[in-house]
Amino acid sequence: MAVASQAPGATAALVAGVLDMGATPLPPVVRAHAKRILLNVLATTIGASRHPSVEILVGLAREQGGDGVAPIPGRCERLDPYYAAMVTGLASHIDDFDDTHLQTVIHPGGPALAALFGLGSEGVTGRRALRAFAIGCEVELRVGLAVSPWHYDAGWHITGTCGVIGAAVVAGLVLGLEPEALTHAIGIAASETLGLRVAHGTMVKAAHPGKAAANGILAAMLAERGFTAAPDALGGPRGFFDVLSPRADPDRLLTDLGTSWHMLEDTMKPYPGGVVTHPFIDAALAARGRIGDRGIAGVTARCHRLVLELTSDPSPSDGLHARLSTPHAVAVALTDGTVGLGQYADRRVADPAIARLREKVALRRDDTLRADEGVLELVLDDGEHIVEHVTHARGSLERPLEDRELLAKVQALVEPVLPGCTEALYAEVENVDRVPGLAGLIGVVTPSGRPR
Amino acid sequence: MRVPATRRLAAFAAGRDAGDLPEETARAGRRAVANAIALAAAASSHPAVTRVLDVASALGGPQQATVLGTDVRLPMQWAALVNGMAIHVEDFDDTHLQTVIHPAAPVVPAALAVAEAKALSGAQFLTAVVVGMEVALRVGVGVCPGHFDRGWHVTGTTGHFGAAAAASRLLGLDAGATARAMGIAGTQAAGLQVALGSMTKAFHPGKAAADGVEAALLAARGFTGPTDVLEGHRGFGEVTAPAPDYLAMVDDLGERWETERNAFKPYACGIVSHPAIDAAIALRDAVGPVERVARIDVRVHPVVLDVMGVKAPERGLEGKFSVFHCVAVGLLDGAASLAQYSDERVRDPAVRRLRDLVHAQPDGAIAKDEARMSVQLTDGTRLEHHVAHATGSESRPLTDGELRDKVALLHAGAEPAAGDLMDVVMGVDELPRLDELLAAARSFSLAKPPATAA
Repeated sequence: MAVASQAPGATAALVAGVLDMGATPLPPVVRAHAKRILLNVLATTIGASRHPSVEILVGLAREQGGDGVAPIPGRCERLDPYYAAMVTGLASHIDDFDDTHLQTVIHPGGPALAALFGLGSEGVTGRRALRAFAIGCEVELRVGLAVSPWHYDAGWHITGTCGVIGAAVVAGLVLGLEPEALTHAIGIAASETLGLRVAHGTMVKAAHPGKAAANGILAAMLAERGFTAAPDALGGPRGFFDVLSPRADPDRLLTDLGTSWHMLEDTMKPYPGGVVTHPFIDAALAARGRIGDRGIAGVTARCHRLVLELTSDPSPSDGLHARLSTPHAVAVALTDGTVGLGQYADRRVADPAIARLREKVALRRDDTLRADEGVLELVLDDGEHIVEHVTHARGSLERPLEDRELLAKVQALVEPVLPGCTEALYAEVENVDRVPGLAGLIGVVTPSGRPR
Repeated sequence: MRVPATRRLAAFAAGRDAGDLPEETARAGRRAVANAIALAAAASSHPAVTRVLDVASALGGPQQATVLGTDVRLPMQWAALVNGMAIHVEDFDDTHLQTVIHPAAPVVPAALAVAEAKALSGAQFLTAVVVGMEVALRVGVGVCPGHFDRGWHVTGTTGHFGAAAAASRLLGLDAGATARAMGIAGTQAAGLQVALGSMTKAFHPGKAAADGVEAALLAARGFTGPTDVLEGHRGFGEVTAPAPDYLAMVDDLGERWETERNAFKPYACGIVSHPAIDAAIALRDAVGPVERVARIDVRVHPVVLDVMGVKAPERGLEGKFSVFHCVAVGLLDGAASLAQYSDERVRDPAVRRLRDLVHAQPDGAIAKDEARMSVQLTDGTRLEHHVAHATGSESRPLTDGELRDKVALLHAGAEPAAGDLMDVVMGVDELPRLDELLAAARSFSLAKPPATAA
């Protein structure tokens, strides 16, 4: 059995910090970055709003759910808070195009957005909404840092396990819970963790942030009504830290809470697909110009251990699996010279030419490389060797997407679903903390009209 | 190569014909259902249960399935959530002693909700309950004791698999879809032991039931998920247990039934004090008026004082963790049901006087299901009793008659409603629909509320 945590009051301390942060203006840099995360995750959610997995879940919600007012970005249905959160969280992540905090591999934006839109569509000022969103992201990351790296390495999909805690915080802030009730909400959420990495490659992977948000909402709604949990569900014996990571460091939950913001290290992906595949996409795109129309004999990707662990599949069966395949990422980048949603369409994944090229890509672990770094070595049919070394992938902390790149990404995701809405979306997000409520933003991201 | 435990369990759950159960197994299923439904009906006004019900009602949705003991109907998954809470909230439900899983709390409500919503027969319901409980228990046997020792509340975690299997079966899913449903539910397997002592503990089986129903509904609509959630790389076994045994999950599946080893508590408190309560009840007639008692000595397994050592409980819940209170009510009331653990009963002067006379002695030579009691009367008489195996233990299971008594005691004075409920459940296989069962649960809960014992 793991040793009991050394931080007996971790949950209460987190709650005190969270409520302080909720009552204080966000530092300008945090406010600006929260808007960036929000813009990006709204775009990925809108972009995926017609995905088959989303259609299935909306179908279930319309059959099983209640009448609700909660919006779904990109869709016209209004659902009850539980199902709305589940749908939004699922859509945010299904294309694997959302934000990533590389150190923990958490995608904090989805659970935070889903909890916010699930409960906060009415009666919450824009300023409070943005604070709740930023604080929720921060809590997800801090919980994740406390259990990393053991927790993810052991097989947990950390966006689900830590997302539910952050979602409970967002929901609790939106509902205006008192300290005791917020402590219980976090405690209830700690007993609703989810996410096994065995689900990677299936729709369930993206259901993790959705269900995390839905569970967080349940927890906050229960706590609001006096439902009780353990006094310290995070730090107590046989609590979250103890059970979910025998090597947890609870101090990382609380150190400099309110003054130091880890969400500033949450980055936006330039390509849909597992973030650790990105250095090799950059490298392949760079190499492509040097190859011309010559044939490729073999490709070796020298990589961080996580690349092998997560993305070594040489023959993915569909678009969801292909997002976790570095061989596929390299093959489509070399072939198409661009990597967007089209490169992960099922029919592109099934293309025999792509399949043949994937087979030529070998991964080799290199412990001198970081997770955002990669070396791609190509041998061409004519015998020439080409080496591309990417020290920091595009979209990484050292090479963040520029504003215009982010806007281009947002536009590419939003326009096919909500034609002509990108600029208004950008303006609403920029203005969100200066308006009396989320109605304007919701109006922009939800098409009018009847459910299809 | 690893045993494909998920697919084997899914095929087992999906493949069995309704009603095709060995009689002993079916009986174990009926007993679990009777105990669970009576508990849920008795707990329908418990504050933890009403709070969950309030949230579920606020979310809304179609009126598909009944909240036991009420006229309220909710969407299937929310009815399963509330009923799962209610079955477990008094800690009086069934227990598979080897794994400490309470299998009925997550599985029965999942099966009940789907069977009611789809207007299925009693035989289909009972078969789903039994295969669902068997799946939960088999998963538990495969991951315990290491999984439990890490701090997981096993009822919540394994209940997800059992509830998904039961719901899938009743939705008519084939083995492949059932395996996917187990994948969708299994990735959500949760419940931390830190929650013990709070309302969240009973939320675990309720959530397992709800998630299981939801997973089956998603799988039925074609939602994809892993079909090797138990044994797969980064799956439930590998991630949550130090030494998962996948063979134990499927060995002799359908031949040997863990469900038959499911035990029923006669008393509404922690199981370790049950032998001492047995002894007190056995000596009650010989003792006569309790004013004659001068001193009570009870020799118990050392664990009893570790977990049941509260000397002077002030609240009903604390009484459940006091072997002294347990012995006192055993002698006074001849019972240890819900009424014996009310705040009033715990503060009753007669109970206090008697419990202060109780001396509990830990004894390493005494087994967990054993106790030796000696009562000294004021006239110097000494009365002794030895309980070799506690009532409700694996060596001395609760008889059907004792289970009937337990159900009646859940609402002191609820006869004949309690008898009706037992009769309906014991004949559940013959019911064309579950309406009669739900009506019996409703009548039972409307019967006289728990009386404060005199």
